[in-house]
Amino acid sequence: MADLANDLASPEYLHGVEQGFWDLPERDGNFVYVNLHAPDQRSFLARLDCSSYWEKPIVCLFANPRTRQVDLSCWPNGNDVFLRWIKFKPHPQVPPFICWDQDGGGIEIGGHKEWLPQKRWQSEPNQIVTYLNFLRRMLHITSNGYSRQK
Amino acid sequence: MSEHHHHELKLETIEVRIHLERHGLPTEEVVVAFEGSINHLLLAQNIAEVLQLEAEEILAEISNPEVLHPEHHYGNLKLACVEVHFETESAKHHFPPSATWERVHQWGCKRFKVASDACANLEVHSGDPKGPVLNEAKPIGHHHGCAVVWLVKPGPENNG
Repeated sequence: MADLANDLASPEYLHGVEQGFWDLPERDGNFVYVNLHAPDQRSFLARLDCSSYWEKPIVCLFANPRTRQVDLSCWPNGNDVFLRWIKFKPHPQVPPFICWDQDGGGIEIGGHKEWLPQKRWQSEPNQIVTYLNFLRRMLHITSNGYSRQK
Repeated sequence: MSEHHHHELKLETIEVRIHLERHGLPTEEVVVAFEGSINHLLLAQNIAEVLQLEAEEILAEISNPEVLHPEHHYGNLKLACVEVHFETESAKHHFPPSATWERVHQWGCKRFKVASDACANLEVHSGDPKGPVLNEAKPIGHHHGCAVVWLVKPGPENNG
């Protein structure tokens, strides 16, 4: 049975800390805040809503590190490829979300209802580390289009 | 000019000896003689040639007093052995321990003739293709034996 506390203390999570990809988590109920480190020395605070962990996909948004509120100025930016996943400047009436088949926002806001029965978020045993590795790849792999600050 | 004066102007010959320690290979010694003072770049170039590395990265190593003390004329450079795998190929190489994993990534792409755009999309995994990903900004450091890493292309991610 997947357990959020166990997954946050797992060797896979701690490997990411030791490698400098992300920091130790801070929990506030179902919300987990994780500071992610980009290759250009910038950091982004991911707010991961882990309600019904494992049964449902995580919903991730980026937050202001001071206020912990979702703040569009604190989202990582990138080219058109990057913005296919990290959607923080879509239509004015559409809230920001992450359009990935393991994020609840992609299913609810992005309208990809076909992703729900696939349960891709259960494809690996550690749901939150799988999510953080996705964000790591977004920031670190060049072809994903993250705009590095020079 | 008298023979005596001529003798006084002759610069001292300094012989610098660097022991190279590489896992799986006998210790090798690089000896370079200098007139008057040590030219560190020239020394680095001589060592780099033996190790098939760039002189700049050796220069960084020999600037470390633990490798070559400024007042000594001998030093010991212990290289990190890395076995790099890509698809069905593999190759071993020795790197300065202060070099980053990005250096290994670039070396592997060159060794296995990976195109630069494809190279930029590879990750460095420790141990096996599904092993933990290494942060390429971090130094290789020292390892027991030869560290095994894989250059891996991550699978596609679904999006809208």
